[in-house]
Amino acid sequence: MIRLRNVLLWGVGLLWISGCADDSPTSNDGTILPVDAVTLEVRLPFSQFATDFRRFEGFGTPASLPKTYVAHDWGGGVEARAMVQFGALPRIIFVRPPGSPATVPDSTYVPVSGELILRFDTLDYQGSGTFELEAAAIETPWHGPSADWFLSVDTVGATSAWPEPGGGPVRVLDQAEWDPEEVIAPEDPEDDPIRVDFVTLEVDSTTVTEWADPEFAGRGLRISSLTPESRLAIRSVELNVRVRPSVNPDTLVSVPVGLAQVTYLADPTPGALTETFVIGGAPAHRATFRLDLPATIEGTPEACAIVECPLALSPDRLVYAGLELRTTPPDPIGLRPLEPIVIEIRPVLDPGRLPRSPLGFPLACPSGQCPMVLPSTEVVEEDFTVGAPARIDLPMTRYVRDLLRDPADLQAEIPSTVTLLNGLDAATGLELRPLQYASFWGPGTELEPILRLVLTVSTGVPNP
Amino acid sequence: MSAQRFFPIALPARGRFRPLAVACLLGGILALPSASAGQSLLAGAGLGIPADPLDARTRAVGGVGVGMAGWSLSATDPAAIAGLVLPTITATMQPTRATLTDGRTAGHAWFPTIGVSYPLWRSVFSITLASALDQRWEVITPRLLDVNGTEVGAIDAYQSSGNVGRVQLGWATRLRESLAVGITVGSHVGVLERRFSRSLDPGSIGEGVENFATQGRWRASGLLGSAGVAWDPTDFLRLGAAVSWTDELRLTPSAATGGEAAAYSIPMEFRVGGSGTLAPGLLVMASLSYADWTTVGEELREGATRGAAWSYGGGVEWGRAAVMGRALPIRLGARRQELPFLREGVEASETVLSAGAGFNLVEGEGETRARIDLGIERGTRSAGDLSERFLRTSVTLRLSGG
Repeated sequence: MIRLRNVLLWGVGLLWISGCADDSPTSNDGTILPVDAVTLEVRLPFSQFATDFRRFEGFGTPASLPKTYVAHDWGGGVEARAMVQFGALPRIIFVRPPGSPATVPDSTYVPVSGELILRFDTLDYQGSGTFELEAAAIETPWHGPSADWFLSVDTVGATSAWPEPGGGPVRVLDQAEWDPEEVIAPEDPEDDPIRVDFVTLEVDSTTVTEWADPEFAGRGLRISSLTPESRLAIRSVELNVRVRPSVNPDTLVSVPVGLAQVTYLADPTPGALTETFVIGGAPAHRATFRLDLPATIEGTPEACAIVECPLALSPDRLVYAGLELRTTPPDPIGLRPLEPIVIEIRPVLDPGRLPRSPLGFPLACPSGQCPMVLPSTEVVEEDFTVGAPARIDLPMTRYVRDLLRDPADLQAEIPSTVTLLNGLDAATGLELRPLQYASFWGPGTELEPILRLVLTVSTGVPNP
Repeated sequence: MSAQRFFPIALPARGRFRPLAVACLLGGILALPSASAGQSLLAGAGLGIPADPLDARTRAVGGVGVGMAGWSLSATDPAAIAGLVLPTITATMQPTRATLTDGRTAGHAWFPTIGVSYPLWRSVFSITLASALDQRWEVITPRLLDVNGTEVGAIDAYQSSGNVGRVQLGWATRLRESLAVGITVGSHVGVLERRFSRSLDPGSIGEGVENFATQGRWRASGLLGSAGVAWDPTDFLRLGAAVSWTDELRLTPSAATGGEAAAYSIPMEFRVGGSGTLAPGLLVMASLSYADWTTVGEELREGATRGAAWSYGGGVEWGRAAVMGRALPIRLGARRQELPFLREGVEASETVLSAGAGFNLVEGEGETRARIDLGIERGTRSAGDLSERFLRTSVTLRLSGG
């Protein structure tokens, strides 16, 4: 009987295996579909789906950026000046006296002069030919994180303006030229020529003495471009101070000085906009609005032939929702994107605390890829004429679906206020885009933001 | 080469050839390429395609489930259990593989009938689960939609799944040695699901476009009953008849589906049949069934059914064949079934040629303790331009003991 059981088990097991296939009979004849369905697209103007549109600026500071910038008359008049504050000179240096094998400390050394080395990003410059740079000493106390073109200090409870907008007045120290095409022959002839990516400028003894004083709040360096239609990114600023040691006055010692802060001042900024809004920049700009979706929308004749109209806007019918933005060139055009500007739309978790409300996760990044305003999006010719507005789609289907659901069906309340902002840069982790803005037509204009909805309505599956 | 090498698993260690092992293994192997049952696009017509809960022997001889010689647990013949003297478990597995009009294939396996019978007080009681209507089918079709003047690629998919079945409690007794009667009462059971979805081309609509889907789920219910008689007027003739009645087939939507419940008047179905011994070892069987689906057609929509639907078939069983000293009845048959529901106004029917065999796995004390039957049907279904070929295999395993 044991053998019989084994036999039966094997037989029944084989029968079971034979039943594993499970393919329903499938037809591709659409005429036998027992369901009528219509897909339609509805484009809601801004006033029909959103309220409380607001623009915000001032998120972050250029002082956080890893590079600083200079520009002169770039793209219709963009000016930018790099502002650098150095750390104090060391209180003690170690010098080897003549004839001595050992070094001795020296706290009474005397600064004599200094050498500035500016290193440029050879992949991030605009303009042609040779660029003329000017180094100048700042004479006005200033606060790096809050300073802008017009204000030297802009902190809570303390505001003061530059005597001259743009960081002035200054005392010019030196000028130098940088030719991006200049190369140095390599030691090995088979190596590629080395591109010269730096310039050096001299700093006088008075200035380095001032900069050496940690109590002198106005100390600092302003770097300007004197070449029209130029825009340069400066990767690093180095200061080497030449000092005369008291233990060996016949020699000069070069002492490197650390950086306290680096930023830039720029003018103009997008300022008070009425018809447009911008995303990006440094400090960054954002725009917020509240989604106030209609309960019903107009249907097409085909849709109204199978379901009741006006169409109830319900989450089960919605298959796509996307915010459609139309670009417009920023004013001046020199503030246009030179790199991709990632546009994110995020829910505002506490609208009462705007503009400092915490934000939710990005809504419009299917497959982890957020929409971008690319440099090619703005068709800008050499004479700064601009092509047709480009369309940027921000898909947010699931979010809009959740907004349409009965709150009782949701585990948490869905915030209805959203903000548009520049996505964090992968390299810096910052929202900032120096001297670059994605500019869009705002509400009330002919090319205002549109909410594009695609719905499918159907008669439903029939009773068997 | 020895048999041991051919059947290393089934054969005992001593190497003695065991016919039980061969039969069981062959049964399994024969079932492998099959897969057939209600696998048909015609399942989309009306309430589905009838899925008669016939066992392998009945299918092999082209029967409609009544008047078969011998005693068995049958979901279509209430009186057929009256002669079972041992508690019995019977299960039929039915793999089907169908080739549709366009060459595509479909297949699945299911258990059209599972039952248990128990003799008590000169009666036999039973409980059976049986199939009734098959609604498994789907449509997947690409489309080019006009969405506000823009052409958008889409794929529409409609899936219908589930079956209507029956659960029945039966009682049967032999009023005389030659006359048995039986009745069953029960209910329709089962869940039907239907789902329509449309997926749109993201390239035309935008990244993040979601699929549209709407679906429904219905639970089947409704009282039913049947009565049957088996009469052996002579030792070489069995006549049988059965009638089944349904109060209504009620399909109640789930709370999420909404809508009203639907009720359909499933018609009374009459089955008659007989089997007779023409010569020693040669059994001839024939049977037919009738049901008038007109009322259901009116409830569905005008012209949804053909009205009266007949099924008829017959076959022979040669019982003198044997393998290793055990009987191995060989069966042949043919059957035609008029399907009750029209497909796009066109009548549909099913025609099969069948063959099969049976084998007593275990015998003892004059009774069969374990038996396996195999029925293979090769058939076609047609309705206008729709034509399907199918291979349906039925394997019935019957275990008795006490």
